[in-house]
Amino acid sequence: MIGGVLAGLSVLLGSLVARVAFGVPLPVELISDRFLPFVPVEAFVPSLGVVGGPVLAKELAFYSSFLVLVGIGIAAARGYERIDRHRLPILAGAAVSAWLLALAVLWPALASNYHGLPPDAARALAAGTLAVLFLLLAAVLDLTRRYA
Amino acid sequence: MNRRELVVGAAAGALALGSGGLVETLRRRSTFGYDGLEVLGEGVERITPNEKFYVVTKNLIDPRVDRESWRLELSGLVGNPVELDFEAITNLKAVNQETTLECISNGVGAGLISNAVWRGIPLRELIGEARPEGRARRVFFHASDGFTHSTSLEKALEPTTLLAWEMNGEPLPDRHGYPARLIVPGAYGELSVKWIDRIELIDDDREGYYEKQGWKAERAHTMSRIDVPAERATVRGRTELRGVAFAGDRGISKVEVSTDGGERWNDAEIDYHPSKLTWAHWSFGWSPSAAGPAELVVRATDGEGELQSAKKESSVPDGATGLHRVPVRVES
Repeated sequence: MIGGVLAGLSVLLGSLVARVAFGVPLPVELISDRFLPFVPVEAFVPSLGVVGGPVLAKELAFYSSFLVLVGIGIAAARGYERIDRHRLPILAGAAVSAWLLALAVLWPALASNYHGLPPDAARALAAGTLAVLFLLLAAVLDLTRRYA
Repeated sequence: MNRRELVVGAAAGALALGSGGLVETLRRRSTFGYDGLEVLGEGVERITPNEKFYVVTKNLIDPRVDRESWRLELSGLVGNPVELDFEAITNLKAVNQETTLECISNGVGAGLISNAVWRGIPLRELIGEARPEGRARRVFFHASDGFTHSTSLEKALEPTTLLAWEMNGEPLPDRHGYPARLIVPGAYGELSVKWIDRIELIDDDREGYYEKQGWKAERAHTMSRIDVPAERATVRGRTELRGVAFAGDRGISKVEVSTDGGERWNDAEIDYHPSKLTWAHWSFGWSPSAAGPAELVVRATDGEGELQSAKKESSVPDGATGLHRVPVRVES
């Protein structure tokens, strides 16, 4: 449990540093920019009303996304605890697979940068940041399993 | 608690503390405090001050673009792709253009509408420099925050469609698209893309962020609003009714007011309407003849002679229509 919390908090801190220092979108921004355009307006506007309007919806997304990251860390730690053999290769493989999946799914949204970097540079920076975040998650999971 | 648990606990605490500090930094920069800012009521000014100008944004935290690294790229179906930095753009011959913007989600009687003087260059000058290919028929705009929108090449080439970098004599505020944004008169505000960084000429029908959702922003409906008196106000004796009217880039030719719920209509004075691209400020001196409840209603006619639609429709998908009605109480 504590390993998962540490891993989730590490990813959270890493994503916040990348957002504040380099303008790399937070995971919640990448996901919303990727998928919200596909929500028909006839469903989108009423759904905002359900959560109390657009600003409350944004606040909900903003704060809950941080809890989700910690939750992902905890879930990953639970999964990692069940692996007894070839732990490190499996963990590394899972991290790389998750990164590639994230790139494939989020590719169009990766060109955004909130400091105004040109699209190609923005995409490279966002892809690199995601790689660091997944590696960080894996590293903290392994370290805490070994030593905590 | 052993030493190992202490170290892990301290690490978790440090991570939580660091994250909490950065979350607070982002919360302070967030759009939560100003998204949906409205301009209506007693104090509506002819030119909306920058800090009061309405804001609607898709973002949790709006961009803070670094002007030094920002570039505007013109690409796609062009013979001469162009990339310009901020200095190169602002060295081009600029124009000042007063233009009103209105959000497509502005409801009847609501305040997601404002007016400013924008300084920039007609977009057609930049597009001309890029030498569009004959098959280019649409333009796709990209912004730093991932927002996209398209329009016809014809609309982009209209002389009033601007690439703007100043608002009311000041650099664009971050929330209004610093360092540069589009101003597209006639369309709802979502087409006036903020934080623009790429303009792509295309020959397909690809759709931008809100277009995919189904919003249709190309033509702003004629609207009018009563700002004074407020709803359910009590009025005594001669009272000046005031408000605004707007019709995209078609201008306003007439504003009419009814004080009996729409049975009879009276012409209002248009006090301010400097061009077809701006809102009109109107007023009407009303001397109530009897005490009791009354319903004030306003309607406008655009510059092409078309009367504002009275049909009550929500803003989904192409902007709200309907007449603004204000119930008041008359006291003798």
